[in-house]
Amino acid sequence: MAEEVRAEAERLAAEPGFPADYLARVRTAAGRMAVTEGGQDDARTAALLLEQQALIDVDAPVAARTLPQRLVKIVVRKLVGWYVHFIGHQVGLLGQATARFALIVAERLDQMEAAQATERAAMAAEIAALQARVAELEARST
Amino acid sequence: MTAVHQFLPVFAAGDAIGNHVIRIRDTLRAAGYESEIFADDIHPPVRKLARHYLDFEAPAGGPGARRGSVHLLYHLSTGSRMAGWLADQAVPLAVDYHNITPAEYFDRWQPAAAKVAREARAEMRRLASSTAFGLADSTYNAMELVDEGYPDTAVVPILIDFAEYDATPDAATLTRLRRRAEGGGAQWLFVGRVAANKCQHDIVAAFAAYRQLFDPRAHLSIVGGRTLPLYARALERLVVELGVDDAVEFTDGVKFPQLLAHFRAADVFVSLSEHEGFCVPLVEAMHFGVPTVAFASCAVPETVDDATLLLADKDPVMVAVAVQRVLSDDVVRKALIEAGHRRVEHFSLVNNQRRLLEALEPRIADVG
Repeated sequence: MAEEVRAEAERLAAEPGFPADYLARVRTAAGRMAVTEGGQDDARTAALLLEQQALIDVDAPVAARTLPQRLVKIVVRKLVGWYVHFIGHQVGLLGQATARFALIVAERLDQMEAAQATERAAMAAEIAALQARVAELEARST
Repeated sequence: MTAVHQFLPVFAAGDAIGNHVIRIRDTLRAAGYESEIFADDIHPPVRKLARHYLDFEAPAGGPGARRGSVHLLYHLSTGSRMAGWLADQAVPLAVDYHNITPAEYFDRWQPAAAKVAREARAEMRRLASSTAFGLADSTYNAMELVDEGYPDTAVVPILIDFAEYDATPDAATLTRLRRRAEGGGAQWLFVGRVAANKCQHDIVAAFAAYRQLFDPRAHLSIVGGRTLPLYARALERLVVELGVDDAVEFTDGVKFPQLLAHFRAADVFVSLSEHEGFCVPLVEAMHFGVPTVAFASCAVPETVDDATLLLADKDPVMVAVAVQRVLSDDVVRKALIEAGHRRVEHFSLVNNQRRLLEALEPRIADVG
């Protein structure tokens, strides 16, 4: 049946009214949370995570197992709300600024690594050409 | 009398491993063994059922004094200081392996948890040489034991008492969910910890695709504790970003009767988890006659057999089409439900108790 499902999905995707843009957005958004994206030491992934989490939710959940517990949480939230909002706003701004900085650093790193790879490839080609030239000269001298 | 005492790092009420441990104890006692539960962290509701592991006293007389009369069974699913201590005890040790979630799933969201997972895996490897045999919930888990050097393994699926699921569901929750269903639209359900390996983000994506393609009035309930707060928050943002926040409900910390209500009100159970050592909620859904759609990962195919529409690909459109097929095709739905009931019978408490004793008794006799 999995094959039938696949065929049906492909047929749907080929229909004129298929919401391709929305589904592309869905795939991209979910893909950002996949474990395969980036590694443990990937600077860009870490920076994206920082950016994602930089928005501080200051409205703590008030769900509780019992009504009295829930009421206590609501009262505490109301009492400290003004203060938590004030701090949360600043922490959020700091987080976003830090994330922006980290993303710039990650971008620069990517550029440097790309440039280094190009240089390395060019150098390898140059060395190969020189080695070929040396071999050719050696062959001629003998 | 031969004793088989169980050890686990955290003994909590209502979780799958906690219930499993209690049922093993009852099964062993009924079979004539002495059996107690020892844990490091014992949650208040089950405090009377267990003792701290340091209270365990090995038989006097040094190693081998009463060899074979006392056996220890360690439930392995996370790292614990208890593991090294157990290896040093002068009595035979076995493990019941419930799988350790790979650390990669924690790296992004909770590096400290990733560290614990890596240490747990190393601990599992070290424990192999001190262990007489290993039990595992599934063949998949048993293969992991073999890979880590465990010499002798047997599959004993997790002990579930399905009779408990016939209890009365929480009336308020059931009424609320049924009222929501009366408004039209399919009711999707997922039950499990909110954690990256469970891939709730893929369920949300598939659900968003389903609403767009087939059923704009559909609802999704994601029921489970928040073990990774950063992942849970990212999930909430994803729901808003995809415009389905009014149709997705996250429910944390439900009591058992509320969980029953969720199962009773569901039209379809969808799991796109990437790492499962067994996946109890799939079998629970089957008990309630809820058709299931799942990503074919790790132990899931052997747990569900032919009772779930298994997908090798979890692209949102593929999953949405699969769910639509299950919900709109009566023949497919009924076939899945019937196969599900057979699967529940396969994993019935009586059958799994028999498997437990068949696996345990000859091994205990060999060690003794």
